[in-house]
Amino acid sequence: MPTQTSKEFISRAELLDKEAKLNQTQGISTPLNRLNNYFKDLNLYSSVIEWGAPSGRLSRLIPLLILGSTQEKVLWFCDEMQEKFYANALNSLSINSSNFYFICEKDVQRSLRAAVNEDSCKILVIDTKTFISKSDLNFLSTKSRLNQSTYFLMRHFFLSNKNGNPFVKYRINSSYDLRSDCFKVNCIKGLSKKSLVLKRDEVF
Amino acid sequence: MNKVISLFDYGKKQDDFSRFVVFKTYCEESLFALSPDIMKISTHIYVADMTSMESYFRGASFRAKMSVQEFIEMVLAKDIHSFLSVSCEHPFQGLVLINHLLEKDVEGHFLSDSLFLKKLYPNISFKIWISTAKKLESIYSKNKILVSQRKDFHTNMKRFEKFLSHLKISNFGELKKVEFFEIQRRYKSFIGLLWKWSFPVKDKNQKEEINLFNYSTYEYFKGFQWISYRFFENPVFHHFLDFPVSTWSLIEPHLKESLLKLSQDEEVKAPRRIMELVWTITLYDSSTYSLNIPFKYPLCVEEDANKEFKITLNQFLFAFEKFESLLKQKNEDLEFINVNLILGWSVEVTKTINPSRKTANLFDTLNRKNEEQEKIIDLERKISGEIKVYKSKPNHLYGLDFFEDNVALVNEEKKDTASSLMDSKSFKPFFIYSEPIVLNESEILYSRFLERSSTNWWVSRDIEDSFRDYYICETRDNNLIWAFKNYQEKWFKHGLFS
Repeated sequence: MPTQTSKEFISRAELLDKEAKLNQTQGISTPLNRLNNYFKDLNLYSSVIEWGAPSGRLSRLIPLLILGSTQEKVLWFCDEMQEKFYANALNSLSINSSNFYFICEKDVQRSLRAAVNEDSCKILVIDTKTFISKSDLNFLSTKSRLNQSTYFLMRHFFLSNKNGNPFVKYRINSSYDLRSDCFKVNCIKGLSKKSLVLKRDEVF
Repeated sequence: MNKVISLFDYGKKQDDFSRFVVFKTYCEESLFALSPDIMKISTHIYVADMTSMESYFRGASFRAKMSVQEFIEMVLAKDIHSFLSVSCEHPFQGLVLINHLLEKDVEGHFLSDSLFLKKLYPNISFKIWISTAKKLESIYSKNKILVSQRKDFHTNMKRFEKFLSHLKISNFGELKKVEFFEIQRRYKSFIGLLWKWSFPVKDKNQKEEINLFNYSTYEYFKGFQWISYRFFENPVFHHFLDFPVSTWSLIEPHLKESLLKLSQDEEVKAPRRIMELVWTITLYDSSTYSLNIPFKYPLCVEEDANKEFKITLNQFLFAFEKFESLLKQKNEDLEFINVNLILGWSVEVTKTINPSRKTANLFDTLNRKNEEQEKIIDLERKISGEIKVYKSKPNHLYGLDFFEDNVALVNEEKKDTASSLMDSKSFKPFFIYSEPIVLNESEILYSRFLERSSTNWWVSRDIEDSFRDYYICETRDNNLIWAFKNYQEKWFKHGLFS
């Protein structure tokens, strides 16, 4: 008959086991082996990942490939805009566009708060120019661990080592250069490998 | 003069959902089974505005594995006991059609843009058109609406009837094209409005190219005054505070009390569902502010009570935040603090739908089979915006090969992979403009050819216009755009890569 102490020990062991499993590196499984290799140390879940994704650089393609590879539902929060998301862009990357749900609003933070508190979706993408304060980042970081969720924080500028962010696990820049016809991925926090260059032909 | 080219033609719809349903029923008790917005035209003829119910009906019909119109027909037959109904884009259109069908002694549910009705249009007599117009005018007259526009209506209508008999025109089909402005000029505003609703004028700026997206607009609805019909009083719940409050954290517990009282009222108990509440706040200076609290899906308040009113309180919170910013703007020049002291409020149930117990189970919005989707639908009820899904559809024309859909309609078993007839692996942008925008070649710094695609040349003025060469271009403002060049070497911006 387990005693109180042994019960506590078992439940603590279960908890440690859970945490250990979460901390194990999981990597990604996109159709691109080189990209998978680059991100093999990436622990996607229970983390906030900050992406340097300025406009006009096709910076969202690499995060989309990663999100698509999870085969999970993704809630994408963005600012109100006139343009529409083009489903076939996702399909051309062999990503199921039905897994992506878009919320485009003036005040994204309000809906984001509801989604995070309700734990409506395991993967959230926050793609807004609205200022996100340190307390918001702290909130997201805490919630990602509690809910075992992934939050992609899309910044509309390239990230730099000059301004750090202690609330996120990974900080990655990605972009496409039209002249060299290459995609560049550069991790400034969290991964051992620093940069990767992919030719467009490899992706498409 | 040319023959009439459009009879009630409000444009091609993307699907079979119509904004209005005109129906005849002898059963007034169950009127609100279809929509909370009902207008009474005459004894037994009503118009339902389906706008607030669109998301719900699309989702519910999808889950019931029926088309939207089949589902609406079922609700009309089972709950409202309506034997004749018309789904239409404009109430006046539906009223003329239903009067015509009544004359023909026809029963059933009809779509205004169905082949059957389109063939009937030329046979609709002006006698019916005029009697419908007179009926609508009498309703507006009773409610003192559009008074200046309706001035001398009866005199002008007599002149119009004389004009028709002089030309020996009795049916729509016999009419030659007559400009709306001419009718308005001769017979004044109200008859001009009725004419515009019957013979929609195509926008002069409308492009020749057929836009295969839904381009039926509500522009033609302008001028039609909606008169909501209720035959029972709206339940109102008052709440007076012992001490004034101003922040949400203090308001919330009191609001919960109000909602608890509301949930116990007979008027809102199942199978009734709430579509809108009005929250009237009284401030310390005795001024009152009314805030509309709409719900995207019919709300069963008893169910929400079991979850501590999470859905309802979220919507109240959004309304309160908007109210706070409105007051802040209003009082920004004043130096008072705590201007938002609230003394009390009332909550009025303004819109409900009332399905019968037979169809009430269809009003459950959540698909219990899929928990993940259930959570997202549940989230949509708690936020102010909409959750959209973008899906592809077979069409070789870029930009017309996808559509926006309702979150409740995502079919879990069906993966949405490339269904465009073109090579699915071609480089595509993530954002697309509704229509291509003319681009100055000088804006392009660098471009790279992607592929050639075809245009909808069959509606183009130019027979040679049959292809588009797509490029990825870097512009002067450092954007990567998806642009194409036509055979005339004209550039157009079609999408944004990032």
